[in-house]
Amino acid sequence: MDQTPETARNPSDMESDPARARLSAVSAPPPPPPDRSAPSCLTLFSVFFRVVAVTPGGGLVMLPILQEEFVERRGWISREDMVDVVAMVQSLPGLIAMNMAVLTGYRMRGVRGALASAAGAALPPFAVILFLAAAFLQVGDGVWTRRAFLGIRAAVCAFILLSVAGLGKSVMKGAFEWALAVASFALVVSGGVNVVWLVVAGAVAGLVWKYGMRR
Amino acid sequence: MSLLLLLYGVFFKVSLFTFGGGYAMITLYQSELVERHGFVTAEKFADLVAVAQVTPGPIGLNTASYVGYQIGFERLGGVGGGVLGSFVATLGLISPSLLVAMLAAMFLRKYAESRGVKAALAGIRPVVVGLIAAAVVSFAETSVFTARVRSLWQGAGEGAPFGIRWQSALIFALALAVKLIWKKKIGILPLLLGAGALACLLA
Repeated sequence: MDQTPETARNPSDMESDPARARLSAVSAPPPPPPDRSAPSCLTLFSVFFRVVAVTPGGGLVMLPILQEEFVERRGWISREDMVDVVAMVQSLPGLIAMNMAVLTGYRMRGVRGALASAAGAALPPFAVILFLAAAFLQVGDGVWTRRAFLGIRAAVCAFILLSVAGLGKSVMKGAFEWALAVASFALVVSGGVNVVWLVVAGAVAGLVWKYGMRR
Repeated sequence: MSLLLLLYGVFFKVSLFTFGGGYAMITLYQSELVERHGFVTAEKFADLVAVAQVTPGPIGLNTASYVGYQIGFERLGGVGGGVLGSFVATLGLISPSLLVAMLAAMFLRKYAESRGVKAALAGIRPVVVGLIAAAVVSFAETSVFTARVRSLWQGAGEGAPFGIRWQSALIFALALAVKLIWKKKIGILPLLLGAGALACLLA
């Protein structure tokens, strides 16, 4: 490699020439943050455990909490990086919460960080089950329980309806979306369709439609 | 042992094909766990989902833990079997995230911006909306209705004829109304408890 004037220069020159040092600092990529600002795997584990444990509902509900914890309070991730994470997390398969844990954990501490975060995020329901489900499953089938659950299921039905209405508002933009939604709905309700194929068909339809349009 | 492998595989598959989290997963769960493999009945599944909603944690993850517990408890025996089932199910569920998300993080920083992915998602999202709407129906089928909606054109077969339970229909309407009027002021957990209590009173 040729010796450029910069590399040929004596390092002590940098210190003795603050203007030049400042210039090279601006043009070079910023140095990675000092290691002590990145959380340990144990911290990742406990943070994700805590966040998941206090957040009822799906993954995106966790977003503002994660934003506060990771971006605002501890400064582990920049706001722009967080936007990237959210975009990726919604387009990856699997639970949003789990994907967030894995992506953030990986950024902090590589593979071990990802594993620690995932373990922390996956543990709360597993811990709850030891107390709750065991009791609930013994209670099982009494007349009163059966009646109560008829009511509970009806209420859950209402809440899911509200969720889908909210979701639909942002997703349903035109005939294309309506056609796909109604078709999947009808196929699932009438039974016998493997839902996995519907997802695949949706992906194919999207590719055909969007790529076809750009011709 | 093969049950555990099957359990792992089913949850892995569900997670791998779920885009958009939680409720979309429920329909997939139903399709695989109830209809395809018969691990639990539709009613039991609906109950476990209800519990999964009120306990901390994302609903998809909770459902996996609880259904896994139920299956392990019944098929492998006792609390120990239940815990094992729960563990295996959870493991299966998080594996695709660990694999795919990590791969994406490592190699495809611009994964979300790739045109192909955006196009595929443009098709997947409305399908997911349809799936979640179908979940509404399946929950209704185990509460408000006395039989599956499809029995209306397929015939009741051995099951009960299609009818409406007015108590559940009323609770459905009330839950809807309360959530629409008071929105965030009343949480889901108290509403579910109220629904259960009301159901006991009305019957």
